[in-house]
Amino acid sequence: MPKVTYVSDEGEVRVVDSAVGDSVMQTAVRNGVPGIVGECGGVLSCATCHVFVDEALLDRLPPMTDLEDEMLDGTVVDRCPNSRLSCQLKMSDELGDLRVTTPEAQE
Amino acid sequence: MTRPTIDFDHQSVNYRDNWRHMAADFHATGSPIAWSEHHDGFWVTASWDAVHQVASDWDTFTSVNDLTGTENGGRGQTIPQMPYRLFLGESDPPFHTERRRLEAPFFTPKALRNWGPVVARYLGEALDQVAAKGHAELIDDVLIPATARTTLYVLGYPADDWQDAAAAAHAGAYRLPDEPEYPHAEQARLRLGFREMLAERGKNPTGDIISALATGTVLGEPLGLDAGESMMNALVFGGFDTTVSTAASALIYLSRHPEQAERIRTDKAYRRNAIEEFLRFYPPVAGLSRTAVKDTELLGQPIARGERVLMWLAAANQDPLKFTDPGTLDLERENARDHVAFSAGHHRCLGSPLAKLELETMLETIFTRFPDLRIDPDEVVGFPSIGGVNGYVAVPATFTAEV
Ligand code: HEM
Ligand code: FES
Repeated sequence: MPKVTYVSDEGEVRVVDSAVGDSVMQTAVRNGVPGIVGECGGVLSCATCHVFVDEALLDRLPPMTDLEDEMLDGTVVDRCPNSRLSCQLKMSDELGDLRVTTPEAQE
Repeated sequence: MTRPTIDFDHQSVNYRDNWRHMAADFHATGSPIAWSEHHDGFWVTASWDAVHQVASDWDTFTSVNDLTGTENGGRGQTIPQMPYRLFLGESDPPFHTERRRLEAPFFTPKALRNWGPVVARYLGEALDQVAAKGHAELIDDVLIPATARTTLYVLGYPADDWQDAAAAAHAGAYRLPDEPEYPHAEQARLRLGFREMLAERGKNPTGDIISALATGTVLGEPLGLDAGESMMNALVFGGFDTTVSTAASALIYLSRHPEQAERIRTDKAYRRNAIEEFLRFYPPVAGLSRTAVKDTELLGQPIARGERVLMWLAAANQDPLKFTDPGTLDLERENARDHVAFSAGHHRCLGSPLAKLELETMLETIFTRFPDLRIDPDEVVGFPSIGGVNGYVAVPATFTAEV
């Protein structure tokens, strides 16, 4: 079972087992991890699931679609090169464990 | 297998007066899916899970309103089927995805930061008009002007021309197109105006939604005037009465619960959760429909190709499998935000962040300026029919006048 490590903007760490096929957003919401809202349920229309992905893991991730790229322009904390919308990051055994930092605010 | 049936017509007086009981009885059957013979026949489901399934699986349940009979036979988002096509709401991917992305940037968390002051200004101006009088008709004097001007401003439509748009939206919200008082002429006149404005912004884009529609492309082709007009139409007619009716329901409740009103005014986290619970408990939209484009099953019930399914959103918000003690309004309910008042899936309300921002501003500001707001429930007049939007014709209020 792959694990997601969520680090808050204040440095608090939560490690959560995720079900294969669930997204990093769903894993957070299901486990009550603060810092990710996921208002739209994962259909790329709310930009409230913004995370910063650990640089070392960045190129293991699937590339972002144009729509994700556009929505990332609308996050309330400005995007960085390692920003992703976590509803688009589906957990799998091939991808393995992930480590993400959540921004100070999503809304 | 015989079909479970239900005598269900969301446009009826019986529905208006008894929908909460009907929803509870339907859930009590243990399998809230049944066939209604009204409006040429349709399935209705009250299950929260089934609503999510239908709303997410567009490959099986289309939103298309195929008025010309040249697409997939879909009969659109509303029952009865509407004669006017909604190019955003009544479309499927890939068209839907491409159309929606033209408007999505205007409703992101970042964009909302710009709209906050706009919402506050228009609400403040509406309240200024009534503050010295000590009484107000909340719908016509406060809530409609504030939401209408906000929505039009966000679109890039001259916000001071709000009266015609608001009147046409309000009069259409609780009538069906075949009723004599339906505002056909008013809506047609506005739509003509939308087209002119789109043509003009196409030449001189100004960075607003109308300009984005006027210059936008879909799968490599220009969006076009018909789709642009229809998408403006949806924003103008979809954004006022829904938000207004939720605000009014919340104000009526809070005017009789002063301790809760006081917490709403002062405690932001409480206020935000309360708004989710108001949306769960007083959902303005009764339900929305999809058409099956292949034979399928829902909650074990076979659904045939061509049959419609009404996602009874208001009743899904009362699903006891999802919400404990669903018939109780609990402003601190932990999972209130799981309601489906905004629907679900890829058509989930695009304007929901704006609607919630408006609701928050309204509740906070109104109880700050008029802390002793009183609404006599006997004077509240609801819409005669609530199968489209569950809203109000009149909500008179009194309060200590500002000096
Ligand atoms: C409390 C207020 C509101 C409620 C309850 C509400 C409800 C809904 C619902 C249930 C849908 C889904 C339709 C479907 O599943 O087929 C929807 C769609 C939509 N709403 Fe809202 N709405 C509200 C306010 C607004 C506002 C303020 C705006 C914009 C200014 C807006 C714009 C839209 C648009 C553009 C769609 C179409 C989305 C699509 O099909 O992709 N709504 N709304
Ligand atoms: S959950 Fe809405 S964009 Fe990711």
